[in-house]
Amino acid sequence: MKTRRSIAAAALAFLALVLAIDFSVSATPNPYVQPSLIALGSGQAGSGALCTTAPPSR
Amino acid sequence: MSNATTSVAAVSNPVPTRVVLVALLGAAVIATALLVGARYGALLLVGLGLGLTLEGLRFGFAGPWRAFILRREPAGIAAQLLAIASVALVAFPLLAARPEELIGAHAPVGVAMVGGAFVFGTCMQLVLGCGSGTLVNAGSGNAVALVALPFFAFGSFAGAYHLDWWIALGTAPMVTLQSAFGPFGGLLATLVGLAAVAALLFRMASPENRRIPRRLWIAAGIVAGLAILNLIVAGQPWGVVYGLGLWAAKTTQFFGADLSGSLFWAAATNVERLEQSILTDVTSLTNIGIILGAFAVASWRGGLRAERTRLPVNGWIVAAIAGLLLGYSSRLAFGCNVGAFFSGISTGSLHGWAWFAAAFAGSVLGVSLRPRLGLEPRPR
Repeated sequence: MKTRRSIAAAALAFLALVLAIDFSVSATPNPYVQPSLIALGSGQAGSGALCTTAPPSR
Repeated sequence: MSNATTSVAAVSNPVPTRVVLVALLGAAVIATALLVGARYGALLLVGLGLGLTLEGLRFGFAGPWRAFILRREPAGIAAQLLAIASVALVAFPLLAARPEELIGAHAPVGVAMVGGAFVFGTCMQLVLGCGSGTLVNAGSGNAVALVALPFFAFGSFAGAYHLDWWIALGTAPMVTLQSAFGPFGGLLATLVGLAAVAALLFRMASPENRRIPRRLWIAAGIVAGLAILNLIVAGQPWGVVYGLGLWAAKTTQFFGADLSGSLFWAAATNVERLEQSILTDVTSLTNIGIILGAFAVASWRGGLRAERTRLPVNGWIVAAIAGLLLGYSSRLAFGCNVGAFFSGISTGSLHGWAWFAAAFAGSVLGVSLRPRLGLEPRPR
């Protein structure tokens, strides 16, 4: 019987592939330059990259 | 105790599996916190909590909507509304008090936004998975979700690429309930609106279905708590589709694509996301956490030993096309069931309510399409 285990493993492999691609095209994270643990009370604005993000007007 | 007895006990005892899984997940969180940043480790932890809760307590979106449409069972949707109301109670005052640090899931209502929500609602019934549901289902070994997921990501990328064209078709000025009624009035209007929908659902339900199981009360409370944590830690509400689109955008860059021609992907905020690791992106981290959390629950419950989904060939084709449309439409709709419906309504965006109405209408169509597309037996 073919089980769901291979599908779940493929999902993890998909994540690993996404991370591998990310590492190859993105800057290496610098842990010495990072935002505060919690945005609330930090005085810093959030990244603004979220699902309601719209492109700027032409 | 003999060696044979010991090994049998180890196989039948789920505790070692749980310990190993918890240790691995904990190591992932700690590694992210140490190598990338404490906030990012915390957000991965929030995502893991969401994945554990959504899969562990079977708290979803597409399934409860289907249950209401087919059988007038309101419990699942009522639990969603309860969670949204709980988040709103905290989010409205926080957004009013700290607007320089926290942002809501606010977007305008428009032609493409409403159309996108309708298409999303239809497609989430075809694959029986929404934004968060596709992640949970893929992590717990559902083959349909695994097929849909990469198409979902590419659709989200493409929808964002074309978003300016769709917005130009007709979009109203952005309205939030805070801007219309003030912070307190907006919160009150949100709670009254959610209560009114819940009352309508229970009125339409048959008497034996007019109760919410304990499991869903608990799940709604945990999901709400984690969504509030997401807002407090990240400075923005819980979302799904932005991260998926970003994964596909990075993949196109890997193959040499130039995204500077896209008004969306060339915007400063998104350029920064493209340059930085997804391990510093809020929605990517919670998405990863949801998949891993769902995987953990499915593993220790033994759910991965179940037989995998069987579908006719056209079922797999539908899964791929619906996945693509889920991603594309959710960008036009400024979010999916999480970013638009859950986070939009709980932070006061009118577009969240428009999304709810349009996506529910789309879901009615999606439920009726499933038998016609060969995804389930036709009703006799």
